[in-house]
Amino acid sequence: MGGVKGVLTGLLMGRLGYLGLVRSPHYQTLANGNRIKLQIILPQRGLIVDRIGLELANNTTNYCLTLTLEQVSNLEETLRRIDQFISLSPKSIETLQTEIKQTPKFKPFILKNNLNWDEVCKVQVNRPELNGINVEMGYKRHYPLAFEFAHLIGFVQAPSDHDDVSEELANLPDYRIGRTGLEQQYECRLQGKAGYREIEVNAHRRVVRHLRKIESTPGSILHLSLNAELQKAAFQRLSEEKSGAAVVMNIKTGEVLSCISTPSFDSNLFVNGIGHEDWNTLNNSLYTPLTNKAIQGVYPPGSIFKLVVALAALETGKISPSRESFCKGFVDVGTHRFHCVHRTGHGRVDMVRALQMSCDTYFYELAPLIGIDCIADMAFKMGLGEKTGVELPNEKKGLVATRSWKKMKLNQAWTIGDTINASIGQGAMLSTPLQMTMLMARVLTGTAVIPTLLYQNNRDAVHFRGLSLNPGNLEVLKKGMDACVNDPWGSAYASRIEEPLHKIGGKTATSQVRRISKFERQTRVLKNEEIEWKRRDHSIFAGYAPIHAPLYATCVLVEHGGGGGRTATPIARDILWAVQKEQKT
Amino acid sequence: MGCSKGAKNLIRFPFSSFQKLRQVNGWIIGILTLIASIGFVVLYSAAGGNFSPWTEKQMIRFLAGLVVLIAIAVIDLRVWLTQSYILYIVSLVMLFAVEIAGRIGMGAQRWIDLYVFNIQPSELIKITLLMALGRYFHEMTLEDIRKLRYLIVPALMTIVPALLVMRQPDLGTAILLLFAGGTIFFVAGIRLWKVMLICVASLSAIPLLWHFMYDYQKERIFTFLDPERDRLGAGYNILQANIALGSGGFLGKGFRSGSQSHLNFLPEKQTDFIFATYCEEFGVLGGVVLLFLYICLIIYGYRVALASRSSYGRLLAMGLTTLLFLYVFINMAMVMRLVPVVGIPLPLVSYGGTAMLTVMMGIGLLMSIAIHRDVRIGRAGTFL
Repeated sequence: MGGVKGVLTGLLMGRLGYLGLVRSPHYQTLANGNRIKLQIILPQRGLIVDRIGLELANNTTNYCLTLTLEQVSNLEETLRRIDQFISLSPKSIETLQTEIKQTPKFKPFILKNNLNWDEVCKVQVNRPELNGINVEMGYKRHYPLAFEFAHLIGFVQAPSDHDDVSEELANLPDYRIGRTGLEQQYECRLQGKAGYREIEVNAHRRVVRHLRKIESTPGSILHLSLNAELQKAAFQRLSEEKSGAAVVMNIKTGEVLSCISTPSFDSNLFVNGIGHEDWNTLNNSLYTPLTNKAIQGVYPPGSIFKLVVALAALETGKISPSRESFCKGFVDVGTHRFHCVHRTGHGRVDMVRALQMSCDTYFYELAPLIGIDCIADMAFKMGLGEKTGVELPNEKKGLVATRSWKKMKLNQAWTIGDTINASIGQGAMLSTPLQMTMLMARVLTGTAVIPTLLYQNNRDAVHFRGLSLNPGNLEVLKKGMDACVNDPWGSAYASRIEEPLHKIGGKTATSQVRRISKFERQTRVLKNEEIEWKRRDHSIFAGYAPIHAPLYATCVLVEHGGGGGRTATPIARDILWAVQKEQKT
Repeated sequence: MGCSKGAKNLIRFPFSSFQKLRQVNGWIIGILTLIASIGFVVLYSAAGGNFSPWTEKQMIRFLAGLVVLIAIAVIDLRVWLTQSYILYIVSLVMLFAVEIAGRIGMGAQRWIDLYVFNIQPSELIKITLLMALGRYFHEMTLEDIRKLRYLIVPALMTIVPALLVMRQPDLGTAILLLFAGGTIFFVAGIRLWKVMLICVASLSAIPLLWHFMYDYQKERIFTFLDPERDRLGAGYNILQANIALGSGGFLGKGFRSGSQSHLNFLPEKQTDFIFATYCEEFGVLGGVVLLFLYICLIIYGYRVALASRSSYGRLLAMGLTTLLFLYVFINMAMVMRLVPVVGIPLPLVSYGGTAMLTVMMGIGLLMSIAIHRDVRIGRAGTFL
């Protein structure tokens, strides 16, 4: 009897020792985990500013009205009193009451978000008779130039289930992550470092005391190369057309001064969660407002590509710029007839005149002489067919059609017809407006310019790799582009700038979306106005200014805008005018 | 075993009531006071450094309990012997009464309010069962005990109240009754194989017992086997108790510094789980000291049993000692997750009057046996 009890007592002793000595550290951890909770203090998201420091994304204070049930003596009366000067609708006082009673007594319940200053004052004035009512301050992301910068800066959103975010953060009502654009690209830099409060709580989660506080570190400022004024002006000008994109770049530093995609949208709508209706409108629009057409829209470069073909030909050393072709309006290759833009032909043209008048026949003849491989090599050299590497997510890389590409994709051999189509930037060729701007910058500088959205503090240190091109050949292209705008026979003559210091040069393009059938050729080629918007030609102009010392390159693309000279070029002229006037540094 | 029936010389018990009072063991009163004081300290701490609501009431109860203890101790053991059956029957009837009252729904009150104490029939029966069994075996010769049919009556005497309290539902008391009653069978001299038989029988009764159990009792056993199964529900108590006890370490977190109890993570911190509250603040060392004090009481119980010349005294002392041991063991083992959670308080330390009264009455009887250790008692309770 006593023996049994002795053994059992020994068991108790052993267990007590095991729990209290051997396992003690483990249980101490658990006990602290019980009583010490961490409250995350969200950092302020880093500002995004333009090149002169103008705020493009900032944090506005969000005043929200809270109610702490345990401090309220009469809930219904308090709610009615608040409702007299701050409308609590759409929720009725009855539904609010039931919701409040479901939250813990000591936890502040959010009655209303986004109080304006007037309402904050009213609450503060009436404070003595409103026990348990508080105004708490939080931060909300705000985009002052929402439409102009929606695509570049993107927006923040509350994390969804797919995001790799810890549960503690995801549960915070104010927590946002960058969803698109620079907000997504520089998420880590902008996010900052969260601080926390260590608090002691009891079993009912009521805070008993504060143990310590580690302040949060705000996210760092993102200083962009963009010029907000130019962006506004360009956006306004381009918005006159239905849909398009424009890029302006400093060719010496690669800094993008303006980058626009129209139509745009209000990025502030997304911050607090966009409504179903708004979302559907944006998502189903024919003009794809949610796409950043400057980097995600891919278009046949059209006649812009002639710069590549011309340069490739000159660089072989076998083709002289003075080589002439006779344009009679078309070229027959085998059984197929390739038409020039000018139906009756341009007559005798050399390279400069071919660029100036955008004669297709010249390039139809030139391209087979040098071959597609030579053209494709030059296109890659100029940065086409590859991502430019600009600091934005989801950039498209376009396409440079090559023999191997056609073999792989279509399992067909390359034909002479493909080379001829490629020579005028049609066929399978695709590029983004940003790529075309970069092409322009590379042609002008002869170096491998790479675009950037970040402000370059030390502009003298910016140095791009040389492309080992003959400067004389580049001069020929510039001459062509000068003539294109400033020669009365040039395709963009109507949009020239006459002021000598601000003259512009460039190349127009009308990139075809549809194939013109033989039947249509025989009867009458339909005018753009006569066909539906989706099938009209894209209007493109890539140009630069000033002509005597090129500094800015631009590409304006108007989706389905018709002839390049007519739609895109006037816009480009206005933008280049604006950048020369506006841009001082 | 059995008493010396051939004793010739009739010894009159020599002491007056006053002299008996002087025989009350001061050491034991001291140990009881020490144990109760540990309880006062823990209750004071658990109330956040207040005498109310627990400590002051508990002190009054302890003092009242001491009076009861001494009163019982000085009453002649033969009186207790002769009244054993009556007391047993009265408490059994009360048990039935509260069971029926509870079933009819006329107030689910299972106790009788005596201002300081609430008397629960289920508490009383723990003592009276032992007394009745003691008397039954006292009146029996060793030969009789070896006959199986003589065991039917005491077995029924044990099982009937055990089943009744289990329906209350009070699994803890049922276990105490079965084990403490079983001890008397064993000490009375039943052959070992019969004890084994009882063990086998009770093992085979487990399915029956399971059938009698309420869902929450079954849940407790599931929870015991795996408390992580339901961290915030049924397993919460025992996990938090383990955390409290384990986090105390060797020396504890210090008086009034137990986070588990003060921040209310530990449920039942002042009643069934008070051992965890205590160990959180006073550590393993404190736990060992308390256990040592209880061991002193138990050793005292054994010494009383061995010193008693009457069969009744020996049997009852063994039964009461086992009862005390079971209280302590089951409570501590349940807090430390060695056995499933059953509602058994830590004697003298846990807040509450009923268990305190039971233990004080039991120790009082032990003392009565000690004071009257030299009295020889005949089979019919007559003086020899």
